[in-house]
Amino acid sequence: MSVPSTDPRKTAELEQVERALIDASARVPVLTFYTSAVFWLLVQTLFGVINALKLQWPQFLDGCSWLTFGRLYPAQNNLMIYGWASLAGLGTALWILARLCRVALPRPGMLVAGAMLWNVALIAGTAEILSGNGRGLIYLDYPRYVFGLLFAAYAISAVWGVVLFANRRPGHIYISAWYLIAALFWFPWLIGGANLLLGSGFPGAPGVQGVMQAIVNAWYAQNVINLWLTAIGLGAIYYLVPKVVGRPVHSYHLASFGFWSFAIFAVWTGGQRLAGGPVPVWVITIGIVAAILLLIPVATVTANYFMTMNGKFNLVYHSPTIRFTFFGAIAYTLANVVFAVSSFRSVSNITQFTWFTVGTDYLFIFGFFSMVMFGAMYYIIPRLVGCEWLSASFIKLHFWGCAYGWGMTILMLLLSGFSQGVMQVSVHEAHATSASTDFMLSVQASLPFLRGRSIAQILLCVGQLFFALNFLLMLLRLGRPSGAQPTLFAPIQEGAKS
Amino acid sequence: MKPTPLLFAGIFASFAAAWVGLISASNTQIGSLTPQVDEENADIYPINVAGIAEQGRRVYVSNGCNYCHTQLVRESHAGADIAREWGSRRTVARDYIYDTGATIGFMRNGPDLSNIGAPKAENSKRKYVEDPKWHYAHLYNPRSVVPASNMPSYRFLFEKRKISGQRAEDALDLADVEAGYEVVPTDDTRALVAYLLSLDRSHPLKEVKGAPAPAAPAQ
Repeated sequence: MSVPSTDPRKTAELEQVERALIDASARVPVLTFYTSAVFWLLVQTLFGVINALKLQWPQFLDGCSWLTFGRLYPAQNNLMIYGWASLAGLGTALWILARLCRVALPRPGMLVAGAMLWNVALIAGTAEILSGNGRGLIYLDYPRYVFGLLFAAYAISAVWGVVLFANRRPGHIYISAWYLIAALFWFPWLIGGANLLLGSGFPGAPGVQGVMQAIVNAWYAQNVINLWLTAIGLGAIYYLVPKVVGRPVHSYHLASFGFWSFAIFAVWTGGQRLAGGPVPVWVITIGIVAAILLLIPVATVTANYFMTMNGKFNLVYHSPTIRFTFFGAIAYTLANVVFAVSSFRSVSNITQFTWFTVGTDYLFIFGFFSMVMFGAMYYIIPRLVGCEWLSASFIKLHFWGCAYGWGMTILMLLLSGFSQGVMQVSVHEAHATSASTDFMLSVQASLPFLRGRSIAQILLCVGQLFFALNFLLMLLRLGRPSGAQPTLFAPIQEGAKS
Repeated sequence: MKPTPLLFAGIFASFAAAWVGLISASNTQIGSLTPQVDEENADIYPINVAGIAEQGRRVYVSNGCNYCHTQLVRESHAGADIAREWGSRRTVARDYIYDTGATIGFMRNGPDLSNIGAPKAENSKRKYVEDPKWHYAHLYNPRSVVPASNMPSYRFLFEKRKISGQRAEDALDLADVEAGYEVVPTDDTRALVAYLLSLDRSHPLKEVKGAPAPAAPAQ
């Protein structure tokens, strides 16, 4: 509050002008990130439907090498992380940082160039995987040069986040900014470090070999979720909820304790992705311990969230942002509990190497992170384009499409993995028939749930199409005129903002 | 300290600690293992696969086989891997010193392949397939040999061509191919099957206790 004025009305006016300037500087770059993210979201959702159908109907589109499951599935996973989640996260992080630091984005053109280069990298990477040049490392399937491009694109866009932070107006550093700045620092280190260590992924090439590759890969896969996506998601929640509810974060001490315990514990997870594997046992044990200790920051975030929302939960019925972040906050807690419980050796003996691990990843990436990103987009985009969302019904359809689509997908994957694992953990020769061996029983146990997942994926597609349509209308400035009340599910009686 | 330097120091320190404690430490432990050499018998394990099998591993990874098939055997208290005869002992880091990390795999929608090319053990109930033609038929249409399979067909790894002279030895026995034509595996497919048949991690290792004596080599 450095604005040198004693007249509170004048101060408020100045702050409003300042916000307008920041939003004007962010308009083109943040919308470029968002448009790209929504495009890749649609592509990856379509890939997801095809992949889900392929598992129960293996003849589906099986004649073409580009569409075989073993290529389309990694292509989908990588687009989920780098296409949708990272681009949406980067756009959101930069806008929130600009608002929190109260500085306009200095070089919007560089950010647009970064987003474009990022898209080029994604097109190249997806084409490489589909044409059979993937590395076969989870969330790191693109060849190394594609990660070089991604790294360059990241450098020329994310550096402005750091510049904003360095030039921030004096005053309190908000907890949201802590998480966002941390994420902006961790991501290049993660992606650069992992790719330097892994090399081309094939034997003989420089880099680590054999089991070390699997360890680096497992550690990277868990931490691209934790240190990159979760950190941005929490930064966004800590910004959006107080803003919409209209009161500060309940406890700053709790939030700061939560941040530090997150920073200390999260980075040690990942070993449990190799439970039972040919790795030193302590690598797995550290992962398990870290996953359990990670429940401490999760508890602080959860407590802070519920205390900040306390008494205002009726906003879930009114504000799209609050409804999406509410879903995200609950999914965050749930995801970490599922992750910790399934880390225990007695549980992971069953769930390891099944769809359960995929379900847990999706609970983080879709259930938590993506829902928070939608909440952020419903809040930020009207401020960038200068009009309000046209249709509350579209937002409603989008929410329920996501809630049922992702909710069902995740539930079905967890159940499918569990039943698959129960069949795999012991031998059932007695039940095997001539048509299906003992192992095939586990495949058959997973199939009913995988069929349920296919239905959920189609539902999800419908939800995302409504979102894309609503988003397109906003880009074309066909929304409702701003100045009116923000688009709500139902009018609010008392004076809370959208 | 002021909050900002503290923030950056913390962000840096937490990451660096895990980098050193997890990645560097495990790399020190298993990053430079060497093959086990038994001097009496001049017996070295593992041996670097080369040539066609190495090319086959690339086909294996680039088609994402590792997204549904693992190549690791867990200890018997952690699962039924050994009971299911996926291997006679658990696999350890030394088994993979010439391997890529990708082949260890992520999921078991299909059976484990650690020892798919290992010689048949005595009294084994598992189906051992040493015939490349079984693998060709399975890759071309998995349901022709495993009726309940949900593995996709890899028809694109085969080519249909006019028979010139004699029918190729590894041509598939298919009912629906016109007379005068044959379906044969491409070089990639031959490499892939050579790789699968090279997968044998049954050699005893000193660090694996309680492993059974080596299976008598098939005569």
